[in-house]
Amino acid sequence: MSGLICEELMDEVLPPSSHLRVDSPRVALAVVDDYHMLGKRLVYSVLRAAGFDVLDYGRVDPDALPAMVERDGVNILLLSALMLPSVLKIKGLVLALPERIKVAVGGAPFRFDDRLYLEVGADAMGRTASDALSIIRAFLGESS
Amino acid sequence: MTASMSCAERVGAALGHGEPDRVPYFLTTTMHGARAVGVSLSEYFARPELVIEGQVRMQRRYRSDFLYGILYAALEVEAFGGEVIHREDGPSNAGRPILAEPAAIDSLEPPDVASSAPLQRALDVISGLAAASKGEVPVVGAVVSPFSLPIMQMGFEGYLRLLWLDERRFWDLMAVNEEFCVAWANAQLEAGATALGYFDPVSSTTITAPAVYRKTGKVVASRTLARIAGPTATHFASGRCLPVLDDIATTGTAMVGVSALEDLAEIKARCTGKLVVAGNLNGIEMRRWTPDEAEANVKEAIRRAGPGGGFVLADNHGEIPLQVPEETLDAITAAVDRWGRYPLDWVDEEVA
Repeated sequence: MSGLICEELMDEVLPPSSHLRVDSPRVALAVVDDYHMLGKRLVYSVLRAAGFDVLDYGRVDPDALPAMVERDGVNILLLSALMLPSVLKIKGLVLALPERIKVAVGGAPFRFDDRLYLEVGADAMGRTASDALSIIRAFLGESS
Repeated sequence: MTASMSCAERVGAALGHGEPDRVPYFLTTTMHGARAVGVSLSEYFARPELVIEGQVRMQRRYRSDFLYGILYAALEVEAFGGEVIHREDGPSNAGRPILAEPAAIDSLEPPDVASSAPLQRALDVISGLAAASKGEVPVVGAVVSPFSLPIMQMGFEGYLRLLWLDERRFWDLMAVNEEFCVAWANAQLEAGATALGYFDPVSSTTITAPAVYRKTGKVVASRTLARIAGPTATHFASGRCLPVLDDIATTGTAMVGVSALEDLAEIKARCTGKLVVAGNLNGIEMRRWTPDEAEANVKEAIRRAGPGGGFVLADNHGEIPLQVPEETLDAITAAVDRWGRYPLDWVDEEVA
């Protein structure tokens, strides 16, 4: 609920179209393959509350995502999955992405196996929605 | 493995908070049965005779102490008229929420178990497993708690908005779901289930703060379980529960299924004499365990929770991923045989 309130405040103070949104990295987030959207929703809320513009791709088929991120000039891709079979599909997806794109993952399976995010080729893993902020800042620090 | 007790006797001793001949264990190979009979998951779940054959094969191969009569959690939403999305590499999921808007709750009625084809399919599985068991092996059915079912009925976000913003409709939905849950639970017991898993992940502290749980999920569980005519095991599908164990013990449930993320020894200490502890092998990690790692994890779980009885070794989610190799499950079976014999003298010998 606090996330929803913060989102509404940010829409009023700093709407997506505002000219004050400068130097915002192109961040996209998506749920891969499965239908559990809450984790992505929480991350979206945290990032919007922090002033980031975020492309919300919703639920996507892994095969479609590489073309979408190229089309939109995405620099940072945040992927969420709750089901283990969906998580395992992320590996093929990451291999199909341009190397310049940083990938962070989150979702219950990653909390139960610390090595799973490495197995699927991600650059980072978040345990909670708020980890998304520190991960993005770390990615930006690496690229500056 | 030479056993002096039947599976039913072994589980019964554990439920009495005593030490049986060895640690009972539940391998929830819901989907591996399809592989054993050589069919796709969608065909497997559509035909009760295949599930019966698959689960009997699983129990005989891995010598676990129960027969698992569950098909998939989304079965209950199917009974409400919802769609189920089957896949061949993992569990079936509920499709589009049946309650798109909270106002739909105002006209919602619980489905009739007797006239529901999906539920009758599941009851055929339970009665078939009971016949195959001949009373030697407990048959376990399952229900989704009235408090957790709305995740599939409304979607996560829709349900959380209901919980926080529409108290009247929240309790109206609980009333409908409680009626259904009780009817569905008792139908499974009448069909031959020995006990039921009461799956309630929303009540776990992973999702719901303890103070909120005590006003909602706990109230629902206490009312519902009081009307179910058989023993239940409350399971949080990998969710944490340590802060609310004392509350769970007052709901009328006999057993609690616990998370791999919590300290099994601490949980056992808090539950001794009040709740039987089931857990907490990590099904996600299990996928990459070597045989030695499988043995080490089984041995550690038994060391932490086995002494004194009142413990059932199980995975922490209530369903082992299809990606876990059969060789790993064989290793778990061998490890239980090697390390699970009571009185577990090796635990004291290793400490000394």
